[in-house]
Amino acid sequence: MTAIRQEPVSREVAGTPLRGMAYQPAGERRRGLVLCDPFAEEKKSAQSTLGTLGRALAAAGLWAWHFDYRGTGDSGGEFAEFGLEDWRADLRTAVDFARADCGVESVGLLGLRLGGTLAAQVAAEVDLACLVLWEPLLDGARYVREIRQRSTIKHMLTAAEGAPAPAPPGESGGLDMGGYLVTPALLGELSALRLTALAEVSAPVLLVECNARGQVTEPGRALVAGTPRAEARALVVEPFWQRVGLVDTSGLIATTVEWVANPGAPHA
Amino acid sequence: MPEDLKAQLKSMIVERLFLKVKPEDIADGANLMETYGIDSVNLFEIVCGLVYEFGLMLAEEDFSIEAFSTVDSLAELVERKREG
Repeated sequence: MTAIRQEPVSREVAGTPLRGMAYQPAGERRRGLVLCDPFAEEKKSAQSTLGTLGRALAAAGLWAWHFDYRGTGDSGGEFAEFGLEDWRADLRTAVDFARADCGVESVGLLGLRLGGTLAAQVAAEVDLACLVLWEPLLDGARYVREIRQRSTIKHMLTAAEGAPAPAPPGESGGLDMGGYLVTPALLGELSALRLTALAEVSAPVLLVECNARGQVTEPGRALVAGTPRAEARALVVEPFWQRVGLVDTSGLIATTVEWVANPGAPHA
Repeated sequence: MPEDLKAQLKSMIVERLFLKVKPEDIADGANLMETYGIDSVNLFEIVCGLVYEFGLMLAEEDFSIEAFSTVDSLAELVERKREG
């Protein structure tokens, strides 16, 4: 068994600390990945899987940093102060940090859901070794619609149990998402998100979809089409970012680690 | 109520919720929450199935415990929304 280390590390962005957990391989850390979180409730549900991924990457000889965007988790700042461009800046800073401060020569990004979309946007601007997208948000308007539906369902179940009803969606001017009060401005930014192509990304790209059929969807195929170094795969994995209990994500992690170890190479 | 609609709903529920039962083993009138422990996360998956696989546009007033409690009630909801 290779000895790996796991330790909290931080880096400031415009005076606000970005904090996260670094997963260090036993030997040289020439290659590494920055892990980009999903948002709100999805972030909570994905925490365990992203931690397991960090350890698996380190065991395979890769460095990884799983950090919190400013205003979320352990990072500094108030949630309401930040928006999507701030979080894209966090990703750019994290890549710089990996290279300049941690000595990782070859850095990639891996993002889940909103993290995938932000990573894909940043990947068009920075030099990356690879880009891994786990179920990125392709349509922000759909995402926001689903957020509202989830809120409505919770409201419906709470009312059915006779408990005091939480504020219905929109009544307070924002939306409670897993303890984050999402402002109308941020909802607007999320609604405007679109990810339809990766044409400007020069790094090798792996898109992974998780569904019951193990088949790449039409939007997934369209996303990688026209990008020579991009491939899409689908795995039979429950949407762990939406689940409260444990989900077996070992296949997803193994597939990802194998690809990241040699991105762009043909795999079985 | 068309039986094939109920069969489609059962397949959608089993697939989206990764249930370890055969679709045909779900009784039309079985309370989904009590029988399969369906919670708010699972209900959201069913809503996504209705929207993206059945093409429904759901409004706030469509969300009621009764409408989502059984395959029968879900089929009624689908038919009602399709009739517009």
